[in-house]
Amino acid sequence: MTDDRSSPGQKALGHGGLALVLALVLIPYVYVIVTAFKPAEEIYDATWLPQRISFDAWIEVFEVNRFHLYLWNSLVAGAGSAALAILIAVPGAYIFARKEFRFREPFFYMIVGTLIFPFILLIVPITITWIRIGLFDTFIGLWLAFQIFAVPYSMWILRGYFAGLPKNLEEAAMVYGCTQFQAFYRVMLPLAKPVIVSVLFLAFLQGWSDFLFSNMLTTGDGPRTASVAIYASTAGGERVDWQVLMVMTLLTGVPPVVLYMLAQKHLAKTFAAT
Amino acid sequence: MTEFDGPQTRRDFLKKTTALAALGITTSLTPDLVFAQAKTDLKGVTIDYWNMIGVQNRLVRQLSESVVKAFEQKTGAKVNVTWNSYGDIIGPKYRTNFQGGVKPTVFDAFDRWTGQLRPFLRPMNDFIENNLDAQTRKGLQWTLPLVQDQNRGFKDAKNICDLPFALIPQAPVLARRDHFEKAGLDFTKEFPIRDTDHYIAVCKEIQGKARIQYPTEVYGKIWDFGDTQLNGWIRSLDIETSDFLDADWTKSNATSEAWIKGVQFYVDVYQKHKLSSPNTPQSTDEEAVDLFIRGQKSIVHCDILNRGTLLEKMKGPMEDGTVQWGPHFPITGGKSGSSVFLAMATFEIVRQEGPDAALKERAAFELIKEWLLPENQIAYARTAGLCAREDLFPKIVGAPDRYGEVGTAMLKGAGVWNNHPRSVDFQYNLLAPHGQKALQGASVADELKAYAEEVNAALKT
Repeated sequence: MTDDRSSPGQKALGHGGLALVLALVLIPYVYVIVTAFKPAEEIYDATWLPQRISFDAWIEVFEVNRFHLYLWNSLVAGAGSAALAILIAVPGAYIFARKEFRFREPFFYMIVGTLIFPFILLIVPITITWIRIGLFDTFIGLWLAFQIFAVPYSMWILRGYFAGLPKNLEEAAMVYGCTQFQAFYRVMLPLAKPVIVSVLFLAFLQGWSDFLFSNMLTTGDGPRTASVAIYASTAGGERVDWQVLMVMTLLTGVPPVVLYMLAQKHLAKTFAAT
Repeated sequence: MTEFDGPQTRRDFLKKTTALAALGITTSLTPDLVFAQAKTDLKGVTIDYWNMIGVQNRLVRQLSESVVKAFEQKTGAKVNVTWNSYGDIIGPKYRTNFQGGVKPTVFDAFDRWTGQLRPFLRPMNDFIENNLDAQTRKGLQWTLPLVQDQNRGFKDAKNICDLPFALIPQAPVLARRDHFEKAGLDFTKEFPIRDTDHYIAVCKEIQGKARIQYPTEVYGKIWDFGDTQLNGWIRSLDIETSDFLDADWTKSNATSEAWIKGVQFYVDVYQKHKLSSPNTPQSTDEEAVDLFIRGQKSIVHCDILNRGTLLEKMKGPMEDGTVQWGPHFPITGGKSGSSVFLAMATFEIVRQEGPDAALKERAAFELIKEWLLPENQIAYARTAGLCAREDLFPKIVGAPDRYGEVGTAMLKGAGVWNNHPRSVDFQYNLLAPHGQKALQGASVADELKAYAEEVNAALKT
């Protein structure tokens, strides 16, 4: 870090260091973007810029791989998972934060404690169960499976935020004629907007980029997500079309980045407050 | 090797094969015109086809789609195609889905990965006997004993549950003529490689004179340590103990002399001769092909499946003969007469239930028959390997890179790996870590002993 009292040499060193770190972070992304526009015959050329800009990989991704369908599935999987996580976690976290009842702490830590359980151990029993109860290869099945992770960490974040709000807020609302639910709905929820947006973002991100459940719980023309489609295009076999893979990677990576930029303020507030 | 003699120009090859492949695509897209007499009425029947072979290779995927379309038009049946990855069948997905009741009617796979699913598979002996035309049956006949052999540990080994449609002999050698010439070697005399002594000598010449730092590669990564060139070297020393398991699937063969000698040579290429890159414990044949394309490798073992990539990425050298295939070669002194294992891409039909079960199974076989038509077999072979039908081999030779000549020559006396329900573990998951330790300096004999103990313990459970 440099400040106003730093010498020009120190400043130059600081900025140089930052530039180096920035380059290290950005180079892989730049390479992905450049490769996505390279023709197949130039993929292994040790040059940064393509001699000819090619959209072949982009056409293949949409026409042959029909990747837009998988992106749509990821969107629905992520959005549904986020909505469900909020519906379950917000009231749950509120109760655990603001109400006194027996075994409150053990119950809460039982829920949050599931986060340390290795999910991969659940995958086979969940798959068999989902097949038997008709949830296999459905969005609902995916949304429910994602909650195994989304609900505990959402409650963890939300509870911390609700617990930090002044205790007399609800009392004041009730003095002014609100019921308990109205106090929650009209006072607490608006105050929790930044953290709810953050949790929505994180839960969406988990559903959007999940591979484990999405791969095991879907098949065929069902709600197979983009991450599974990328896997199918690279796992095994003797051929990796790097330019196609890079296009898929870009298309899958851009929406979370855009969402992050939109939710950035709320995320900063959330992590400062919890 | 006289099979590789005789100059072939690109024009010769194209003349012979383009017309056939074009017929394949044409007949697939407009089947009514050409195969009207072969129509089979399966109207109203819907089958599920889990497709693995076409998922990664654009050309194979397009061929696969046209084959399915042709089948639908000819028969009136409908096919729901699901594209799956290799990892789905190697990993728990297929097994879990099958056990849960989510199963296709027909799927394709590699021959030695289906043992875990055998209870779900419908034998095809009756279909082969009664529903396959004489020419196709004759062309495939030679593969059936191999299929039975690799399933020898099952009580119903005589049942053909895996019907080959494509072949991947392990593993031919890809060489760059320009590197040989740069090192002052006469390519016509020094290639194909004769044995491992010759291999080391040629690589050292190239390393020293052509300044290719690591002219070849042995592979340490999980999927390639146990299925590319190592097994052929072991087989060249002793056929009997070259498979991962013994004849009746009761114990591992890995402590045999042939295994120890074969793995030791494999390690020596990297450790002693310094001909393989520092990345060897984690390297793959796909990466070696990348380096080969970039001119950083001179001689690499790889599947003919890589041919599509090579044609796309280095078309010129493939067509002017700069890049050539050669057969896998024995360890010096290996007198077994075979240095090849044959992997086969196969079709499987899943036992169906319900009133229309027989009809669905028949429809599945009709789809397989579509894949076995000459034009589709040849079109597949041109981009991704060898077709299974022996009678069509003459149609796939003549390319300047000689993939057809080399691939078919390697089939003579080739062995097959067992299809034990845990073959994936034996061949990949359990073996590779020990192989990697050996590559990093551990005793080969000790690592193979430890591996054999793990396999033997697994066989008892």
